[in-house]
Amino acid sequence: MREHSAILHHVVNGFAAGDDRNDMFQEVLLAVWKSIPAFRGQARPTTYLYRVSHNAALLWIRTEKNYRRRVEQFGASVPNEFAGEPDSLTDERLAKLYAAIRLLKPVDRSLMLLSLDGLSYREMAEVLGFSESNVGVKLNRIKTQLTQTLKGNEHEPE
Amino acid sequence: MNLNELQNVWNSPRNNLPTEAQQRLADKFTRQMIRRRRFQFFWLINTFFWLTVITVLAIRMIAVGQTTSQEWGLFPLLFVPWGFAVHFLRRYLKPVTPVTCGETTIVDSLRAALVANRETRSHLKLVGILYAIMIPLLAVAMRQLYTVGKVSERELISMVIFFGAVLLLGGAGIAARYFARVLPQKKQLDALLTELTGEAR
Repeated sequence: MREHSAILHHVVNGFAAGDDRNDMFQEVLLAVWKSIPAFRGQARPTTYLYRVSHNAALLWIRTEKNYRRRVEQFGASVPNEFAGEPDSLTDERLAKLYAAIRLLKPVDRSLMLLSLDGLSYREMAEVLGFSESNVGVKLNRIKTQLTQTLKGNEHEPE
Repeated sequence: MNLNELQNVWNSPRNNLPTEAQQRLADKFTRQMIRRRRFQFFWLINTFFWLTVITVLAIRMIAVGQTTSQEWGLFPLLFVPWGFAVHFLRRYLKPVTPVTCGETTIVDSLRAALVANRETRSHLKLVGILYAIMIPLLAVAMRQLYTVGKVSERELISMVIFFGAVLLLGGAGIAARYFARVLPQKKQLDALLTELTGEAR
């Protein structure tokens, strides 16, 4: 988990904002924990973790009851600290980027997060389960949509 | 921001947790899971201990002949708690792997989740139908008991209240699970699969 914490961090922030991040974080961690006994080594550990965490994120439903139960049971929350030197410009850009990702449709969000994490088309196809050419077609459309959203945000008056 | 800038921002160290936080997080989560497993272990030990005590007492009292023969009926009744206890022990020893584990692609695991959801819906519908059949059968049985004089009017009222409450609570539980959990999950899975396969295939 320590080695792959960046994957979890990106998924949680890409699918949820504010306090919801804690709920989703618990959901993803639990999914990872429950899926460990099923690991047979047929997929690479990274692919496996991507599949489990994105599955959990896609199926996550935010309900107040679930949220309270999980917070009471596990008490853990997403650490609100970041590596590297404080940099307000990068932080602001990251916040905008995550906000724009959260505006995408759930499956598009997954694809965009995988792409930003540097996965190849083949690896993304392995995680999601459709062909490489489809990954390419979808990704081009999503990237255009994302950059347009971000440009729109930049032009918005403060 | 253009795509290169996006990627640079994404790859910046600010988009990850510091090493200490990662370590803390991993430790805390592992501790919580161990605590959870330990709690399940003690719960099972406690349950099996008390069930064994009750069963041994029942065997001693009934088999030795300290009670009337009618109380042999206690043994079939004990199958229910023993059945539950064994079920939870099996779940503890061999945890159920979710269909959405990472061995298959997301599309395949969502399909498997949809199949599991369909099975759950069928199962709940079947239980609901059995409940519906049970109500008139129970009513007839209770009326017969009253007619032949096996139960008094007061006992009949008690039976109606008891079985009515049991059926009502059970039915409400099944309906709540079906409409509040299983059906929304089906809609969500349908939507995700349409999004994934509808555009991609």
